[in-house]
This record gives sequence, structure tokens and C-alpha cells, in this order.
Amino acid sequence: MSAVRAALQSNFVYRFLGDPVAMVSAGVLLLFVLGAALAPWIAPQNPYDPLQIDIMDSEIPPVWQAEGEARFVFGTDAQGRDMLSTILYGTGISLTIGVFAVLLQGLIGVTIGLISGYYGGRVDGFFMRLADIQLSFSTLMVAIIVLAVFQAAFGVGLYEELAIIMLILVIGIAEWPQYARTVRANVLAEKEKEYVDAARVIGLSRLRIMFRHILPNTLSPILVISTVQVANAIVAEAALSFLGLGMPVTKPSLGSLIRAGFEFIFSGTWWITIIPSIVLIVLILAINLLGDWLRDVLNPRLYKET
Amino acid sequence: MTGEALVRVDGVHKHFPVPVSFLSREKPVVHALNGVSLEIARGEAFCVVGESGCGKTTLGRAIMGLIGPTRGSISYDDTRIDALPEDKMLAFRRRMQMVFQNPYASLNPRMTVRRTLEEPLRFHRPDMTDGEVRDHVESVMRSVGMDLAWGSRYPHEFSGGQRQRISIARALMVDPEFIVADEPVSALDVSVQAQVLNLLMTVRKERGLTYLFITHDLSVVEHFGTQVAVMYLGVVCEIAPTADLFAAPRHPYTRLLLSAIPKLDRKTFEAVRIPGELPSPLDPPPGCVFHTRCPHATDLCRRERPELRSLAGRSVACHHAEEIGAG
Repeated sequence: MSAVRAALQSNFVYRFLGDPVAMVSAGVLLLFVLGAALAPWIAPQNPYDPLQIDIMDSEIPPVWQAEGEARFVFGTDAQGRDMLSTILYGTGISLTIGVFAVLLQGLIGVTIGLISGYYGGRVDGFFMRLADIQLSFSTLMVAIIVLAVFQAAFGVGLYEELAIIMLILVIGIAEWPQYARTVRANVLAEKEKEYVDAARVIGLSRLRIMFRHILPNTLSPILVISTVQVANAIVAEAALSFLGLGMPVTKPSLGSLIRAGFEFIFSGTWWITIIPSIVLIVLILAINLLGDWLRDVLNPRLYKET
Repeated sequence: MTGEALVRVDGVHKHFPVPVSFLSREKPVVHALNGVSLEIARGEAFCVVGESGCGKTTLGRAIMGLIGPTRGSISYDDTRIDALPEDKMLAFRRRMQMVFQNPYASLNPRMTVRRTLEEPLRFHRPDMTDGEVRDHVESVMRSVGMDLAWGSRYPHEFSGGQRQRISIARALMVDPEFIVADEPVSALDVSVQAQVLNLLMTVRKERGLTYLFITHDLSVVEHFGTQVAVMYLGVVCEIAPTADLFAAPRHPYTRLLLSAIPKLDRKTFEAVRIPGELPSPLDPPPGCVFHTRCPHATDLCRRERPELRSLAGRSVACHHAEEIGAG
């Protein structure tokens, strides 16, 4: 086992080391993840702590501008919060929402896809039509309606407390058909293979065949769409925040930072919007490039000449 | 050479619906099995031969309970096992196992060989300790000629013949008495076929197994089988002890099959040339299914379907078996 795993890993590592794009993407992603995870220790300021914020420091430009101050590398926003600290914390919130929303999507989508593909017939018809209906509403539309209704019904106060959970739930539930369809298509191919018959001949239960035999053989496409879906979820959260339905300004994600700065962009304080935007774009790009690379590695039919 | 019937297949039909648009009025079905009846006695190596699409694989899968027959019954040791609920079926799952055709698809690529082999044991014998399971796995691995070091490796590291050995080991893991082997050597190189066949024969002798051996290769039958059933278009044409069948085939289709074996000492094919193609199983011909290609066909054959009947120590489904056999 260990020998095989070592061989697999070494191939993986070998492909990784041979691909500068993958290495740079992984490096950038790692930098963001570490920065976000270690934010409480490395950030110059805790943007959630009002005592550390001084309104007199507001709208200081980044350090390379003429009026910049060394205390605030990326300047400050309209409330006097250090942009660098806010971005570090915000990246963490964006990543958390992205990852957990995708976990939820995966949980729902993989289970439905497995059942749909393995049982077939009416069960399959029901879930796939459900997926069709779900896909005909755009994720953002569903999210806007749900979040707006929630805000109206329970008040902004409660909403701000539960914003992270709400965003995870909404984005997670709205995107399950992506997983369900991919998994179902793979299950349909796998269940015709004789190892599934062999498991049935042993007498294993359907659940056990589905989860122990078929699921491990559909993992690579799941892994690949997961990377893309994390990026999508972060973008969806940013879009919702930009519309004022995402994270509150007191606990900003990258999206709400961009929105908060947008009001000031014409008065010359561009950094409040532009810097978080660049961070968001670089983060999404890194995840997507890494996802592309992963797809190439896991799909031997796409071996490139290198 | 035989005891009582272990497996009895009685008038089994299997129809597969053809996928059509759900608006379509017609509901065409493929007649994969059209009233197959046969008995497999304990200790036999029962071979089923026939060309592609004659329903031999469907028969094996129906006996294993992988598909339910449309009509008819299948009994194992005098208990009906078709349509048995899965929990009652478990007792029989331990007694019957299957070896599959394609060794590249029949092993789960994500499981090590050892896990593949342990799984049936852990499932059927939860009382066994880890040590007992390991000992049993190792003894079976040795008995099929596997190296113990294979256990920690994955299926993709093995050749077809090696994988087929692993498949056989998995089937033997629960000490079954009956094994359905669905063309177990047809995907292998000729040089490896003999090894796998010999292995199957050895384990049969050692363990007193009964086989249902599905194949299209008559030379394998001659080497391996004690009884042969010849199938054509979902129907059994002839059942006979192997030696008798090869010495004197009675059914015209059996004669066609035997004449198609290439022989080194024969300069030309003085073949029983039979015109025509295999009719579509969507719409099998009325009467004897073989009448469209049979040189001996009469009006009776076109009208009435011949049943299997005993004739000189064998069963033949042909109205004119007497005249043909004599000739």
C-alpha cells in the first residue's frame, strides 16, 4: 500500500513540479490561505475591534502614495480600518464561505447523484427534473430572493449575525445540481462495470455498493469540479455582498469591501475598492488554474506533451 | 458421474425492453431467453455454447440473480431462488459465485487485491477474527497460484491472466459449491487461456465444485466440459454429454457450429454451409427459431416450435433429429 501510494504521490508531485503555472497558483493560494488563517496574529490591526480603529485615520492612501503612512501599507477605508488587516480577515471569510458552501453542495449533490444514477428509473427522473428546475433559476436570483426575504422578516440585526451561515446555506443548496449531474453521469458508466456485479454477487447491500465501490471511482471528477465550485461560490458571495445581501460592513468579506469602497471611487479614494478587487481576482484565478491542472493530471486521456 | 440436480432452470424467459421514446406506442422487447430449461447436476462442468447474442450470458446472470427472469423459475438445491428477497438470498450467495468475462472491469480499481479478497469474507463471516480472515485469504491465494505479495497491490498492476486469477480467488473466498464462469478466458491471450482453464479444472477437482461455464469457444468445451448445452437465439437446441455431442451432433445448428471449428488435418471446408444471418432477437421467427437457416426445415418447423426431447441419451429440440443424426 505504502509503495503504491508513494508511486502515486511521486507522479503527482512530478507533474506538479513540471508545471510552473500550477506551482505559482498553488503558491499564491497557499499565501492567501495562510494569510487568512494567521490573520489574528499577523494582521497589524483587528478590524473587528472598534477600540483599535480611529476615525481620524480614515481614507489614508497606500504607503507608496505621497500622503501614505507606514502604519497602513494598503491605506485605510472610510472608517479608518487598515486595508491590509481587513483584506486578510475578509479573505478568510470569503474562503470559509466558499469551502463550506462547496462541502454542502458536495454532500447534497453527491448523495443525490449516486442514488439517481444507481437506482435509475423514476427516482432518477424525479431528481434530474428537480435539478433542471433548480438550474433554471440562477443561483444569484435564488440567493437574492431568499436573503432579501430573510432580512425583511427577521431584521438586519439578526441577519448580520447569521450572515455567514445563511450565505453558506444559500450558495450550498442552490448549486447542488452541478455535483448531482456529474456524479450521476459517472455512476451510470461505473455501474455497468463487472466489479459492481461482483459486489452484487457477494450480496452486498445497495448502500454499501454505492458508497464503498462506486463512489471511490467517481472521486476524480468530484475533486475537479470542487475547485471550480469553490471559486464560483466565492464569486457568488462577492456578488451578493456587492448587492448588499452578503456580509455586513462590520465583518466584511472581499465582496463587501469592494462594495464599501465603491461609493468613494469617484472621490479619488480608489484603493478601498481596487485592492480587494485585485485580491479577489488573483484568488479566483489561482483556484481555477489549479483546478485546470488537477483535471489534466487526473484525466489520463488529456496527457499533454511535455 | 453425477448426483441430483443442483440447479434447475425451468421454462425461463427474459425480455429486455428496448429504449424508445416514452411517447412511442410500440414497446419492443428483446427476447434474450425464450423458454430455457436445463438441469445442472452436482459435480458437473456444464458448458453453454452459442454465438454472440444467443442469451448465454443472460442465462448465467439470471441464475446468479443479477437479473430476474420475466417468466419461468430457477431453483437451487430444490429452493426457488428467482424473486427471492435479498435477505433470504444471502444464504445462497455464499454457495454460488461468479467469475466474469472482462478481468479489466471485474476488479474494483480503487481497492487493493487483499481488500477485494477480504470483502466477501468479512461480509459473510463476521464471526471470523482478523487473523482467521488473513489466514483464509492467504490459503486461497496460494491455492490459485498467487504470490502473497500481490495482496498489497492494485488491480492495474496486473496482467489479464493474473487478474483472472484474482477474480477466481475472490469467487472461492466464501467456499462456494457452484460457480458461474462467464467466458472467463475469452478476453485473455491464447497462451494464458490454458493456464486459467487448468486452474479452474484443478480447483474443481480439489473442492468438488459444480460449474456453469459459458463460452463461445468449442475447443474450450471439449477440453473442459462434462455436459454441453448449445444455445441459439435464446433457446436451447441440444444438451448432451460432451463426448457424445462432439462425436455425433444431432441438431442442425450443433452440426453447423462443429463444422466451423478449423482443423489442421482438413484441407478444405466441406462445411455444412448454412445461409443467412442470425435473425433479430427483437422479432424471433415463429416455429423453430433455426428454420430460417436450416437446410432440413419443413413446414412443420415453420409452424411448430420443437421442444427439447430425449433421444439416445441426450436432449434435442428438433423435429427431424432422428433422420439428421442417422445421416
